Formats: sequence, C-alpha cells, structure tokens
Amino acid sequence: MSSNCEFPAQIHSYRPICRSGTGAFGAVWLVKDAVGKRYALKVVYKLSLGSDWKREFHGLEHYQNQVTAHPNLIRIFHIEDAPDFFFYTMECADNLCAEFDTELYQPATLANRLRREPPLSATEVREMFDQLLDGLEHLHEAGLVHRDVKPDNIVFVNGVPKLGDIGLVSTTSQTLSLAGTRDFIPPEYLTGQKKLPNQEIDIYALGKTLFCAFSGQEPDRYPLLPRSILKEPGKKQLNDLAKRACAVEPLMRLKTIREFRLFLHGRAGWGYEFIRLFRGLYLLLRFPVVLVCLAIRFLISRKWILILLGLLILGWLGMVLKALVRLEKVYHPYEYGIHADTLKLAFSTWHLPFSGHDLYDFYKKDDFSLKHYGERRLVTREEYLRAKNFGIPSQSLDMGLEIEIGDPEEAGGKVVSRKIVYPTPDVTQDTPLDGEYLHELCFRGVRSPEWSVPSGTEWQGGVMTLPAVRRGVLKFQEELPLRSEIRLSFDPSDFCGTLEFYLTAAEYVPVAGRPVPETQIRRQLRFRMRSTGGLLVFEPALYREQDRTEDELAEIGDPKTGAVEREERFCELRILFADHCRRVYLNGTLVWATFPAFFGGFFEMRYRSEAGSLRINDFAVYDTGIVQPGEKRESRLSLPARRELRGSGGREEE
Amino acid sequence: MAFTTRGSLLSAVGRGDEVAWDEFYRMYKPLILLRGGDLRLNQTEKEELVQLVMLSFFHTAKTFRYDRSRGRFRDYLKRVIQNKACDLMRKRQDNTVSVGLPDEVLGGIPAEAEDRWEDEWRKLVLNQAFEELKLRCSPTTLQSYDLFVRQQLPAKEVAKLLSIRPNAVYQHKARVEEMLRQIVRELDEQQL
Repeated sequence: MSSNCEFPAQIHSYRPICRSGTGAFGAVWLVKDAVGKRYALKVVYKLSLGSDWKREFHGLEHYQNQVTAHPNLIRIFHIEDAPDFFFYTMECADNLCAEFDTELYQPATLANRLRREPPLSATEVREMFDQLLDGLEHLHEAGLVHRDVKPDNIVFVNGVPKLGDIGLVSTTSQTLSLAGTRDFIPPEYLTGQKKLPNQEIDIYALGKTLFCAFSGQEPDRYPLLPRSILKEPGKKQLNDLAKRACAVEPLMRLKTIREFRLFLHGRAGWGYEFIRLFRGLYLLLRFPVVLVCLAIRFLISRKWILILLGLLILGWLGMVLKALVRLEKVYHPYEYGIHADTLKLAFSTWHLPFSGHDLYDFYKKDDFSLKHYGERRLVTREEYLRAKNFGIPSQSLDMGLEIEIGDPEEAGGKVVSRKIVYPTPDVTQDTPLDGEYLHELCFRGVRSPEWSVPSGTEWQGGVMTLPAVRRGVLKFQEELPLRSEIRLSFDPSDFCGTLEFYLTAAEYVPVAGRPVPETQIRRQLRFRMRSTGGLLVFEPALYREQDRTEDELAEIGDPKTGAVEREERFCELRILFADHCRRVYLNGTLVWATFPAFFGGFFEMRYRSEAGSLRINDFAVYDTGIVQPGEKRESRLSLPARRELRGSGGREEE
Repeated sequence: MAFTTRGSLLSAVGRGDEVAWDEFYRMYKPLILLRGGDLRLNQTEKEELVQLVMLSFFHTAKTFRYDRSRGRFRDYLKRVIQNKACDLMRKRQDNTVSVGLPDEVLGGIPAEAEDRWEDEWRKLVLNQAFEELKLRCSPTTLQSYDLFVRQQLPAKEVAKLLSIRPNAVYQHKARVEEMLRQIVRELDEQQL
C-alpha cells in the first residue's frame, strides 16, 4: 500500500504535479493527464477507512448518478476502484500563489483565502454565499446532504465558489455514524440526540462558514466577535444571519435554503417573524412535556428518591389495605374474599383518617330495609349532611359559625385570640320561611320502646306522668331526622322546677386506629325554661362544641320573650328546624331562634323538680325538608299563627 | 461542545465514540505536555508521552469506569502521566545518559509544578464551562456579554451593535455570570 506521501504507482493515466492536501484517509494531488489538463485527484485508502470506505464510495456514486452538473458544485470526471484504494478526479481549485506550475500551489479554498487575507467584505460574502446556496439547493433537491460544508471545502474554480469534497455526501434516509468537522456539526448530532442526517445540518454548517467568512474567526470562537467586525458596514446583518442559522435551539434555526437566502439579502419580513413566533409557542407548549421527562430522569437518576417513593407507595397501599379490611367487615361480614365494590371504596376512602372529618356510616334512615340490609357507606360528616339534605347551602353545613379574630388594636396590633361567635338569627314571629317545608310524621306516641324513661313513670289514659323526684331524664332513643320538628305537649300546672330540652349530636362511628375517648363529649344544644305553676320563664339557649366540657358552654341566644303564662292545661312545645336555624315555639309563640342549625342528633328532656310532677300527653317527631322540584307530598308545615303578646307574663290574645 | 460533563465524556470515550476521543485529546493534551515539561522531558518525549497516555486510555477505555469515590479524575490522570513518563525515562536510560533515575525525578517535582498543574486544570474547567455556556445561552446573549465584559464596550454601543435594548445588556451580563457560576459549580461537584 502506498503511503499518503507518495503518489500511487498504480495510477498510470495521471501524472502528479504536487500534493495539495492530506487527510486522515488519503491525500489530494494536483495532477495532469496526458494532454496536460490539470485535475485534483483524491486518493482514499481503504485500509485507513476500514469498512467506511464503502460509505464514501457510495457517496460518490450518489453524487455522480443523482446530481446533474451545476456551476457551484465541484465536477467529478473520473472514479476508479483499485484493490487498496480508490481515487477520483475533479476540477482543480485556483492557485492562490502566483506561480502556478511550480511546487508553490496553494488551492484557492475559502479557508486558505481567510488565512492569507483579511475577512471578506459584506458584499463579497453575499455574492459568494448566494452562489453557494444555489449549489447546496441543487444538491438538496437531488435528495442528498453534503454533511461537510466548511471553509476548507469551498473551492474557487476560475473565481467561482463551489462546494467541494463530496466524500461525505449521503441521502437523507441513511442513518450514518457521525461525520464531518466537529465545529460545523449541530450540537444535537454531537450528543447523539439526532442521528438521521437532514438538510438542516448543511444550513447549520453554512451558518458557521458564514461566520468564519465575514469575521475571519475560527469556527470554535463562534459566536464571539471582535468589535471592529461588527462596525463594518453590512456585517451586523450577516452576524444576525449566522446567529439565526446556528441558534442553540434547533427549532429556532433557519430551516431551508430559501429562508437563508431571504436573510442574506435582508428580505425576510414579518412573515418569517410570524413563523418564529409559532415555533416559539410550540416550544412553550412542549415545555411541560420536557419538564415531566426531566423530572422522571431526575427521579430515576437518584436512588434515594426512588426508595422514598417506593416507601410512600407501600404506605399508601397499607392504608388502602387497612381501609379494605374494615370495609369488608362492615359490608360483607359473612363472606370471605375481596369484593370489587369494597376495593374501589377502599381506594377512595383510605385517606379519611387524615382528612380531619368525622366518619359516619351513612344509610337512608327512613327506610327500614335499607337501614338494616341496604347500602351503607363511609362518608365524612359533610358528605353525610349533603346526602341527607340535598340543596342545603354550604354555610348551613358549617353550622352558621363565624370566626372572629380578637381586636388587633387592643392587643397592640397582634391577634390575641380566636373567638367563635354564634350569631343570633334575626327571626321574629313574622319572619316567613324561605321555602316550603315538608311535614312528614316519623314518630308519635308517649309509650313506646323508643322512650327511655325514669323509673316510676306512669301511664294513664295516654298520658305519661313523670315521677316527682328531684331529677330525671326522659330520652328518645331514635336518632332524629336530619331536618326535624319535635312536638311535645306537657302539663306544667302542678310542676314547679326546671325543664331542659337537649339536642345532642349523633354518636361517632369508631374509626379503626383512632383512639376513642372514654367520655365522648358531643355537640349539644340546650333550651331551658323554669316553671312556677302557671308561669313559664325562659333562659338563654346554650351550646356546647364538640369535645368541649360542661364548663365551656356558650350562650347563643336570648329568648325572644321573657315569660309566657300558661293559657291552657297542656302547653305545646315545637322545636323546629327552619331557615338554617332552630326555632322553638311555645304555644305558637317564638321563644328561641338560634344558630347553629344542628342537623339530626338525639332529643332528651331533663327536669329538676322542686314540687309536683310533670305530665306529657303527646310527643311527635316530623321530618322536614325542602321540597324538591317535582316532588309531591301532601302535608306541609304551617307556621304558628301570629300572636300578639300583651307583655311579659301577660296573657295572650288571638 | 459534544459532552456536557467530563463524566459523560469519559463514558463516551469508553464507548469508543470518535468525537469524544477527539475532544478528550484536545482537552487533555496541554495538561500532559505541561506535566511532561515538569518531569523534564524534551519536546520529542513530551509528544511521545501524549501518545502513550492516550494509548493507555484507549486500551483501557472499554473497561474503564470512573468511580468518584475512589478519587478525582485529575489525580488519576496525573498518576497515569507519571507512570508513562517513568516508562519513557527508563527507556531513555537504555539508550542515553540519564540525568537521574525516574524515582528521583518524580520525587523532585517542585511545588510550583503542582500549582501549575492545578492552575492549568482550573483553566481547563473554565474553558469547558464557557463551551458549555455556548450550549445554554443564545448567541446574542453571549455576544452581548463578550462585548460588554471582555471587550469593555459601553452598554449603549453594545446595544446598538446587536440591536437590543441597553437594559438587556446588563441582564445578559447577570444571566451569563450566574450560568457560568452554576456550570463551574456543577463541574466542581463532579470532582473530576
């Protein structure tokens, strides 16, 4: 095998004049044929290229077969394959040295010109690149990519710039190993993000070549420029073009020869900026996807995060499993295995122990079969209330509570305490109800297993007589409907003492894992009155918050009237849920109107007798609710007729 | 810049990537020459040292795995250079009169040489950081920084030359400096 220094002896048809260039894979010689015509002859040694020599050879084939002659593409005259090497002859470049026929031959490439002379003027650059763009466009139209555009490969033949060294020419469908010169290859190809060569590679390289041409700088200096260059006429525009052709973000680069030419001649108008704007928008839209990919990459690259995530997922699955076991026990106590419905529910309710809500087993209370055998669900209190009271405004579900911050001025500008204020609703006898209310009887009777009565209670003729002891509790065992009305008819004529009516919240459902306090103190609403023979005197209503003690009772509403003189033997007490508040009427006279509204709960009456006994002749519980569209119920709630009071302690008149 | 970190460069070298080799060579050749000079090698020997060190990496490239916990890459490279320099010196002993035994030469490396090595390494890091910067910044930002900070042109003039607002020049400066700091920090964290 011949070395790069020697002209291969196997080539007989050409006589070498001098070597004009040497590369890693071969050498370029200035030769002349038998009639003295000069050519550039490139010898490529197969051994030095390994199997890649075929790639270069195929590149030549493509070039010869697919590309027709063009004044700005180097012409190839002859290709020959030998056992150790192949060679081809092409047009030879002009000589930059004055004496052509001597050893002092320096091919007129752009790189050599830039080494010898100062940078080209803007006009020269424009003229030269205009022609090069023609050549490159012709190549691209043939479906080929040059892949090695750089100042060394731009040769001047008779003063005409041509794209030379077509050794790396390939089709756009070929996936090839990285080739070309490092500084002229787009970064995404260097990092391996892109493999398939396309015409954008050539445009990028042409941009870098342009940078070298107008600035005289080495390509690795890009984009740094001496200030003097930018001050030269027309160079600012060329600098702008180079930056656009070699932008960091591939999407923002010039994409076609046409775009390059428009900028070269300064003819790119707002249309191109519009396209760039769209490309920018696309980049922005792509950003979240990129962000997700980066996040995934970040997670994968750090083992401790993966371990942490794994532990979290395991913990979550544990919670789901715990909820599942509990739900299986509730819904399918006599069946083994996992049911789809409980599994689904477990996934959605696993977090409930953390949610800060109370848990309720919810069922439709007005349906006996459903209550005992039907669907039961685990819900939060809010969900429970919403399910039972469709259409209730959310503030009502908050029980009408308002949180006030202590006066900052009093505490030197600092918030000192939080006080919960229960506003007294401005409800009078004349206040109409907001909607129409249902009035369905749920329970009636004074002698029933639902009643828990003190020992010694007697019944006679449908009248319950409570024992004349000092204290006693009369409790209705059933939970009240969510929105209810209680009617109690009692005879206080012989009774002298205190009567207290309690509304207590429903029991908690025990939650697995949550400690149940020994004494579970629930919310409670109390109305208290004092009976002195014929006169009933009312005291402010009291409210106890959840988990508060007896000492933390809050007064939440003075009675609307001071005292009522008994008109008949039996008095009728009505505790009504209406307008998101509790109203209490005695013989049709509004006595209390209080927030909180207090949904559901249990009713009990406590009494403390000083003398005489109390008699009860009627007790009824009604379910009240807002009339839904299309719903028909016969009974409606009627408000007590308006009564005028003659004064505190006076008799009432119709 | 083909490889954003030296870690990725080393792994690419391990894969036999041609561009990575080229970059590896360009990056570390000056350091090898510097160390060769400190070890009192002549010009020919220094060139040979470069070849030997590169060959050494080439032979071990496929099995070479950089493990940060075992030390910094720069120390590893220094060790390889010294070993190869010793080989050269031993070879020289066979043919010519030696100025000293390899161990003596290694023991006699002045402290300034170590400082020079560290300085050169720092320069390498900065150059690499700037190369990395080219991938992260827009060309206009870099040009603006270069003209304003390196070439010390007034902000107004820079703005006029690059057709940007004068305010943007200051923003570009702050952005580039922040990025540069971050890249250097990243490179330092790699402890290569």
